[in-house]
Amino acid sequence: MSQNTSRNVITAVVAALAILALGAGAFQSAMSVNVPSVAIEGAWARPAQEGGNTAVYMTIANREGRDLRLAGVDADVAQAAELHETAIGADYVARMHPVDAVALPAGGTIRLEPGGLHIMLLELTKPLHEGDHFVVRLVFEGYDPVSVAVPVQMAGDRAGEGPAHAHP
Amino acid sequence: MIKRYAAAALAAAVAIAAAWWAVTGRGAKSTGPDALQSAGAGYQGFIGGVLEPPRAAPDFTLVDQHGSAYTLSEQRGDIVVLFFGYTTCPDVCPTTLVQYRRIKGLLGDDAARVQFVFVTVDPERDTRERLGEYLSHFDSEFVGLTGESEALQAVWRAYGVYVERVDAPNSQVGYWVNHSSVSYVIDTKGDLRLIHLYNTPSEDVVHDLALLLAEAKAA
Repeated sequence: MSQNTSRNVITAVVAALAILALGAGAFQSAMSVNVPSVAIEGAWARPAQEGGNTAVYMTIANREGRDLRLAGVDADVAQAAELHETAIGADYVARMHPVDAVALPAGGTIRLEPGGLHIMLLELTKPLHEGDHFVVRLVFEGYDPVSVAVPVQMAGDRAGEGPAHAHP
Repeated sequence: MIKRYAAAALAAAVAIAAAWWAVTGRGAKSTGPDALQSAGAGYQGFIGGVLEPPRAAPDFTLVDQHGSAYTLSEQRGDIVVLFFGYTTCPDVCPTTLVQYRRIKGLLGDDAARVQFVFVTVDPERDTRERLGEYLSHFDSEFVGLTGESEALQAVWRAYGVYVERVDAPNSQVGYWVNHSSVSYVIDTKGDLRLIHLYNTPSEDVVHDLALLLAEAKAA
């Protein structure tokens, strides 16, 4: 391989890795901040009007090597951000309840998805339109917040269908 | 006696229509190409829960997001897909409305005969303006209905909708509302026919709506 070609290949590989890293959404601070090693994938939130509410979803994988607890969330784009969980029981009633903290064991993954765990953003300070982006901060007990870039879209990657449910 | 014959005749008509539909393909207009192939068809060929015998959908008059009176029995000729939710709901309600958008898209031209109606379970906060703004994020043709508390309670009772207000002292949301998550499907004659659970795949709903539309055309 000529030198030019190998340089181009390296550039291409680096660019590809950078794009992959952005796509996977694994945000970690490189400075002397104490941020846990977590991999965030598939973050998204639905559009909503100013003053309204919306939900943020994502998958969080624990790569820290020890158990973590997600104890809070924060977003500048809303008056309040809270963890909630939807549960649809055998009576087909959708019930929601706030969640104080979510355990994320070492090597484990939690999924925030429609019909289940989600971050509820309350009283948005500005409208969210499809294509917008905003930042949500995940607070793990004992660590500095992890910032996640969240795109605004109508549905998650599975084209609008929620997770498969086993009907009771 | 006559009722039994009528029910049998209707069942036969539906069966014939479904068979004709299956044999000749898609029928008059474009519906989703995979709508029939994906069918895990059950009772009477429907995928959703079938209400048998069909009964007249309980009538009601509420106010839509534009301030106009909306009377269910005046919607004959259209299929009405009915959902009970509220605008503060961040998860189940928006997910359902996004699915309705998808279903409407998959119906193609047939969508002109299907209404998607969102009845609030939270009259305190869901004014018609709020409903209008909320629904416009999904489809401004969706109908949002609100009204006086007593009027809404009568509709919830008539449809067996569970509504429970839960105070949330530790949350900025104030209170949220637990509510039934199913969709009710009313046919073009005003009969309550089907129930689809939350998260029924869009293709399955389209399949069932197409069957009802075929039945209406064959009638």
